Amino acid sequence: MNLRNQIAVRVAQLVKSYKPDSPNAVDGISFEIESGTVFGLLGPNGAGKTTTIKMILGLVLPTNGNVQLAGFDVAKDRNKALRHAGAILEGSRNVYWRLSARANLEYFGALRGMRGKSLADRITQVLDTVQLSDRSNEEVRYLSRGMQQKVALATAILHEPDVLLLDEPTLGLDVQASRTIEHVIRKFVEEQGKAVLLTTHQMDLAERLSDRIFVIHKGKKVEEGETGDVIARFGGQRETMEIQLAAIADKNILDPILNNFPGLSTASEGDKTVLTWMDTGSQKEFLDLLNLLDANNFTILHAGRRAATLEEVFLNLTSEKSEPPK
Amino acid sequence: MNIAMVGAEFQRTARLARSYWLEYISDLVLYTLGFLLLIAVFRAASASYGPQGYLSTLIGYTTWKICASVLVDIARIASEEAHTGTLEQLFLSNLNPGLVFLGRSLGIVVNHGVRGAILALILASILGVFQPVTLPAILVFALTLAGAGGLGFALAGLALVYKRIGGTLQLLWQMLVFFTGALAPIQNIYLDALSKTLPLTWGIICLRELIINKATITTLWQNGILIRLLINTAFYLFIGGVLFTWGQRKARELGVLAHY
Repeated sequence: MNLRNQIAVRVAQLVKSYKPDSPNAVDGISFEIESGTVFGLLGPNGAGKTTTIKMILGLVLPTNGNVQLAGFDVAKDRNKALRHAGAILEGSRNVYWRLSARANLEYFGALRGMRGKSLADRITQVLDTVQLSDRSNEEVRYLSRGMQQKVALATAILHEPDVLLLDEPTLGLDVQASRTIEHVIRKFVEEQGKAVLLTTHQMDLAERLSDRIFVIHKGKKVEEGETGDVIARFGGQRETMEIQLAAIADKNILDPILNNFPGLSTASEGDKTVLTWMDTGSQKEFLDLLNLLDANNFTILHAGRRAATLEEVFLNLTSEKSEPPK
Repeated sequence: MNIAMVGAEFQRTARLARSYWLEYISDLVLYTLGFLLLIAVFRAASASYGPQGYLSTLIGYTTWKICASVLVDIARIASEEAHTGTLEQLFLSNLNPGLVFLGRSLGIVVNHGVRGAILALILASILGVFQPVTLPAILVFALTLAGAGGLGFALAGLALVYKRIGGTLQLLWQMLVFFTGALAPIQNIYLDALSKTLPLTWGIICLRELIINKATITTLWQNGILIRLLINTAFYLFIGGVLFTWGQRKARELGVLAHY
């Protein structure tokens, strides 16, 4: 089924309460995912992302609300809806470790009603897509974490679903494996017009891949929109200044300086130190900071203004001071 | 459930068996030696214990070994796969989870069936009590197995919700060997009453009648043993269906399909 430009997933007023006396894990969220797009569902740990994905797949039953997957109501037609969905679930093995990648694909393919030559051809194709053809007969337990995740991805796309739900698909993977998964997601969306729901804590990945983002915090929607718009809306209100120092700074000297400038954060990047200032004060304060650094013999490689990143916007949206709307 | 799915389960079971070959051989050696030790103890305890006694014990022992293993494995796999995370992937297939589990159970039956048959063959050959397997015996055994599978499904349903059922399975494993008359007749009136409610008991009685006393299915039907086996099996299948359906719904309601 080609669902291009159609609504692949529709979530309406979704609520999940695990315990009556505890706050709702998911609290009345609604969104739609169009085919041909990547939808980034972002939030800190415990925000309700995994519960939302599992409710979309019918693995967790909602307390209230409705989910439609590929036009099917998941509560009523779960089996039909699932024909159109594939998923990688976070923290799970997803596949059998004592079977080879190929045997896993044969098994899950059969469960999906695939058989014979069409299944064999499709297995060859997906193994090639995830770059695992040469290791396909090894038991999954002997593969690296990145390769295991590629097997999980191959299993998820084997039956050519219209919607792919990926919960932390690149967690713990090296750069190469992450890039392969990113490439497969792009191909799936751009060439095949399918839809992807992605959760990740890697904001750079979310920013590169997501057409739209939905920020969830404590079960509630905090913000939703096209990725660029959200960054512009929430990052554009602030001057983000970045100062790059030539070496790893001595904390004993740097920390007293940082204390004088609220909103200033520091990070190490290789053998350099990067100071980021989102809530920049006046130009005078910025110059004061530069002078102070210079006076303490720090070598300033670069200082300037730059656009806010999704990570900075995300941190701002989900910080404790910015509680979700009641 | 379709043929392709059952085929896939058999293939998966066979592939996993290759991975666990050492465990299977150890199991075979352990249960062979265990049975021979048991026979030695029974012989020492009673001078009249002879080949007919060996055969009677062998029927109970093999039935228990296969059926109890199937029962325990069905329940254990629900708990184990929830722990590893593959259970959710099974629930993501567009088939009814109960049917997926039924397919899985057939794989388990074949696995334990083959291993049990090899064990029985070795023991019967050692003791010189080999008997041909008849169709009525196969049918009665299948009914006994179905009852055990029903209880396995019931426990799998509970495992989906309550997770840690290892202790319960261990207890049940022991109960089924000692309280079903699998090894020796039960003398105590209360224990005898308990044994008649368990799966396996009526099946073992029927199998002994068929194999040792050369009874026919008609005789079993007329003396009421077979109907009791049917009722017992139907009861456990019903309980299994109800509890598994409840368990998988409750686990999805609580969001614990993948939790351990």
